[in-house]
Amino acid sequence: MISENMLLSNKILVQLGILLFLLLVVVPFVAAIVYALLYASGSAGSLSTGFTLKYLTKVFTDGEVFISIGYSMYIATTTLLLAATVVFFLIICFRSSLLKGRFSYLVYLPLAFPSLVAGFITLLILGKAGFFSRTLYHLHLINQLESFPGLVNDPFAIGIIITHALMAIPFLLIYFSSLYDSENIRELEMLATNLGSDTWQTTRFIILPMLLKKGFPTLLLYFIFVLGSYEVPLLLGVQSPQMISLLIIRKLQRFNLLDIPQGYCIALLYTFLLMVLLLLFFKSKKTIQS
Amino acid sequence: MKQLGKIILLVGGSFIVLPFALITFLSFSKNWNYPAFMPGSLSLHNWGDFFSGNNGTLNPFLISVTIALITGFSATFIGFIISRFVAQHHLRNTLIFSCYFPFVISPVVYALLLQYFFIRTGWSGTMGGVILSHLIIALPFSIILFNGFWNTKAKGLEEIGTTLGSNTSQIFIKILFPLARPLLWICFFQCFLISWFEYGLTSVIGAGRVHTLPVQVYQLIGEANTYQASLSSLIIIIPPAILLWMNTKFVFTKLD
Repeated sequence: MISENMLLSNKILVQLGILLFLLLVVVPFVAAIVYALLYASGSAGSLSTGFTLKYLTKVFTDGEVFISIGYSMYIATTTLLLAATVVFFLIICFRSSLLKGRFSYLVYLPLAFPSLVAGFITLLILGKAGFFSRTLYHLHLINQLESFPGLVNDPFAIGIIITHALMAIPFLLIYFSSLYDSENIRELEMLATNLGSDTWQTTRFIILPMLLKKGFPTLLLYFIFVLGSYEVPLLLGVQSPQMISLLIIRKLQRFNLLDIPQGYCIALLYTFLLMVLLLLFFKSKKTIQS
Repeated sequence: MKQLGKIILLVGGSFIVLPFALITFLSFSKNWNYPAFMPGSLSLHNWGDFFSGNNGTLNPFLISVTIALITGFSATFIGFIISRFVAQHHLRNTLIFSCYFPFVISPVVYALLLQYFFIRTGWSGTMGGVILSHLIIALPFSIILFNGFWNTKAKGLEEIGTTLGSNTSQIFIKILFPLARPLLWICFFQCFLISWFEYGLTSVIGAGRVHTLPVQVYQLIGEANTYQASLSSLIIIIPPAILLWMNTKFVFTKLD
């Protein structure tokens, strides 16, 4: 009898837990998407005139959204390529001295920087009147402020990429180092060396393929984060082209009410892109596990 | 090779220390005119203003601490309990998949998509609304983090507790919470940081009425008030730097 009561209360608790999960995790997301769908199709909002696809058509014909998605992808890809290159180089050459001893805390330290502060610091260091510009001035390599190259608020997003890469390096360094240990790559490396491989062959055929294969889902997840970043491009970006988050904000917060449905259309496209990338993330995770 | 390693470590270390040193110097400064390499004069004036509440940073700091502590604690506690039910559910994988959407979507875009509901319910521009919005982002992360905890070991201990006559609350208090303590700490730190760092979500849901530290930093950068912005940035960095130090010193060591 007691066990039956316990089973019943356990069942009720499970249902309550799932209900709470749905309320706090699923319902907000579904509600947000449904509202965006209604607004984007002209069925909700102050200027709604009934179902229409004209806003979606305008977004597709305008082309700005594709430039923005392309620009965001360029920034995310370049950031990851840069960060991963540095991280793999450090892991292959100096792994033991990086994560042991006094230096280890310094590796973790950049994780304490929020994006907003990281962007601000980049302005202070790489801006026209920043630390590097002053250093070059005192080294007599430039003679005025204007001579310093534009590394922030530039169309190639150099400042954004450097900031994101510097934020990604500590995270990826810690992640890939633990992967290096858990996958016993050191032992495989020694085995390959005993069988006659040189350093380049070991790196090319053992270390990099193993790290990239196992770490692909994490790299993809980080790609998604950079793709949707907001604070760094807000401080270090240019008016055009803009990263996808900034484009959505600009459209949704404009005084022109006719731009709002287009903003929701772009937000939906961005969400769809996220879903595709997430599916890819889960698929790659599943492949690795199997 | 060892020499090169030392040089690289030195350069890398400088890259990490330089931002800290720069904003620390600037927080004690009043002028850093081009092309001066170092700030002209250093004083405690800015910090005095902060502690006396004159520069308007103390209040945002206290609001941020409150919001981050509540978010961190709620997301950890609720997330731990919910994750147990999610892990036992036959649709576990689908439910975990749905956790990733709020977690990976750009918070500011999510905030704008949710803004209508916050306005309609009167939560927009309130501290409660900002905490709820932070929780909506932090909770999925917490559930994903705890998902791995509910393995055969935890389930086995739970079953032993049930067999010996414990009820659900006793199982949680006496078995599961002590077992998950290091993970609970990590989750609390991470959720605290998610909330502590959040700017986009707070600025949209807070509607300019909930003035947290990141909102204050952005405002100061916009006003080109480099010295106060540096001071506020330093205040944002210090708590996570301490938490990271504790994390690496105590939690990771225990996990090892």
